[in-house]
Amino acid sequence: MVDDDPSVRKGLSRLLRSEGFGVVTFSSGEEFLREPGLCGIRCFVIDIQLGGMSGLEVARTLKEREIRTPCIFITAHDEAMTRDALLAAGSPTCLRKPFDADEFLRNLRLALAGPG
Amino acid sequence: MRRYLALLILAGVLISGAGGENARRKSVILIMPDPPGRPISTSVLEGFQHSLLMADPTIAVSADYVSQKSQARPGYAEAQHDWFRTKYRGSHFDVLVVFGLQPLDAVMGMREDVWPDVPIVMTGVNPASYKALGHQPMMTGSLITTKLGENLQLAVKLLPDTRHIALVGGASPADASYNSLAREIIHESVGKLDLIDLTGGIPLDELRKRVAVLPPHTIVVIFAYLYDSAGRPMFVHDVVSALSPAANAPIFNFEDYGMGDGIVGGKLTHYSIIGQTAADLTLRILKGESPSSIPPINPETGSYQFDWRQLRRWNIPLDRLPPGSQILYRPFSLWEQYRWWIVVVIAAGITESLLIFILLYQRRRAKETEDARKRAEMEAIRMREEIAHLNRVASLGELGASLAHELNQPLAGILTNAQAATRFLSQQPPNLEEVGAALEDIRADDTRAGEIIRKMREMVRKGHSQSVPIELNLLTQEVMGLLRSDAQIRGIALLLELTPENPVVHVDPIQFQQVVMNLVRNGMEAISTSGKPRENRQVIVRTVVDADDAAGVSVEDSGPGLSPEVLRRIFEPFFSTKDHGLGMGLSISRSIVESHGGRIFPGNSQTGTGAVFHVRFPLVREEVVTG
Repeated sequence: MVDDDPSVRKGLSRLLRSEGFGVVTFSSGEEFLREPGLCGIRCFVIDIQLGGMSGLEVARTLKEREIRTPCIFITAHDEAMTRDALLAAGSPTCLRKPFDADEFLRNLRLALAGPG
Repeated sequence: MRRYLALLILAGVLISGAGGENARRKSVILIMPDPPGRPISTSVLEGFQHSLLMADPTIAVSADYVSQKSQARPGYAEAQHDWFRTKYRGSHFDVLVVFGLQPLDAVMGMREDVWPDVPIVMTGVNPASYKALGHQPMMTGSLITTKLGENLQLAVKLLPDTRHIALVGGASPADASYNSLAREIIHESVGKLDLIDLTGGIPLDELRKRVAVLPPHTIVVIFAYLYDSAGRPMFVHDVVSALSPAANAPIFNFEDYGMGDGIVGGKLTHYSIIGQTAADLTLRILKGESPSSIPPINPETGSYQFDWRQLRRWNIPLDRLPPGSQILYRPFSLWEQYRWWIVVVIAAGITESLLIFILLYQRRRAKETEDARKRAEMEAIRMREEIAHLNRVASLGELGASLAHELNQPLAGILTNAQAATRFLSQQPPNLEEVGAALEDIRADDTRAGEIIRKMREMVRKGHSQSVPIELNLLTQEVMGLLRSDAQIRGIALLLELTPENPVVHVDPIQFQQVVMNLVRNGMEAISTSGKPRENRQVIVRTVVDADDAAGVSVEDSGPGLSPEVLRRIFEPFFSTKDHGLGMGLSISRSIVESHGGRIFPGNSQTGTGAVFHVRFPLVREEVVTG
């Protein structure tokens, strides 16, 4: 999970743990991309508005590196991203904070069960 | 009183006269007409004695009285001569002063026998009688000219309607000569008047009745009244006192001692002057001058004096009086008595009133001006606060999206934590450790959200600006919280550099934050419109302490910078380089800063490409209200 907001990182990690998932968190895209062990990870949850490079840029970078791990975008911004922009970045899924835990988990499972 | 005083003086004179054997002391004697105590004699004696003793206090002054020759009954003159011879045997006088024609006659008769070789100063003798006396050895004196004619003409001038003149006179042979002299003078000076003869020593009771029924336009003149028909000595002022209340016509007499008893006044003879003149001549002889070498003098002995009560009684206007007249017995009005005091007090009062009026007027003017100024100032402050408020509301409106973003983060944290906690609770066994941690995170997130809302509420709250000393770093940090999301959304790095000096400034916290917010958002706008690449999009907010005891913030952006044209116009209201926006932000910021005694000035970055805005306030060195 990449999110520059500590509240979100803590809350979402706890939710995932409560469902039995293991979670690794990063506070910026740059930090995340420097991580060597990304291959073992089944799903990326990426915040769109990060301090430095944006979540979409991070996703594009992953795509360039041909890492095809499924992504779920989250955002605190009210204006929703266009579907095209999201797809271009690699994932149609974007949840607006604050989101419901069940909805998030449903999307997560969908992603895990997906073509990847 | 006057007579009593005269007797006292006389007693003193007689006592000192008794010690006249002392050869070293000069000794003089004044011979006056009988009887003692006549005011006329008293006046002469007073004037004589006073002048003499003022010049030489060692002089022994004696006084004596002789009966008038013509008054004497058979054998009287001889008896008087014998008595004087006996009385003054062995006594020595340096000067013999004689007052009046009749005493002079008597003295001349006894001179060879009683006072041989003593120089004589005669006084109170009219020039004609003096001339008739012929040359006398060792004699000089001062003459007196009667002022009767002059005074009668004056009386007629005062009372122009006068047709009758009533002459009152005594009965003695001396009186008779005075009466005939008076008739003569009346004939000469006011001959047109009808003479009513009241001479011959008519007793006072009778005389009182007579003067009560005088025909209209009459004046009463008393020239001399020595003895009445019964041979009783009469004093003029007693006659005047008796007649005045009853008289139906004004009474004239021309001796100063008659003044105050009922006479109108005129050119009065002052007998004290006669006494003084005699004293002057006496002193000259005592110093060794020969009396024969001193020609008789004729001094002015009169002055115009009038009784105000009589002038009123007989309706004599004051403007008819001769110039230089002295008006006696006039009751002083407050005005006359305190004229200068009154003038000064009134002038002071007027001046004071005027000053008070001017001061009040000025104060009122000043107050009006001051009030108007204050009203305008209050209005300006109110307007500025109103505009500043609108600016804050507008800013928050524009920040709406980023504020929502800012709020959504803790809300998301709260929701996920809550739902995670539910899940941990439903596990068997429940993971209470995670639940507790979740609750703690929820609390922290909630506090964070509340803080954001508090700041928003402060920004939109209307209120009077309240300046307090406050830590600049703390205040700047706080406002960054509201801007961070905006910067993030715009893809701009918002950097804060705090000075380690922890300066304190005196500002209204909300308005200060508003200024920083305006400057940061301007900077971000400039970057956003410039299309700079991500790695070169940043706004740096620095807190600064200058060398000149000023502290504040400088906001530097990495935008395109300010052209000279923009620099010149940047604080103008409605001047904007932005496509949207009112162009009020900088104008409002400047008015806020200046109302806090600070200044705001733009420039271009020294190191980067963009613009930099400096805000400075006077540095405060006092206790600090934090928060």
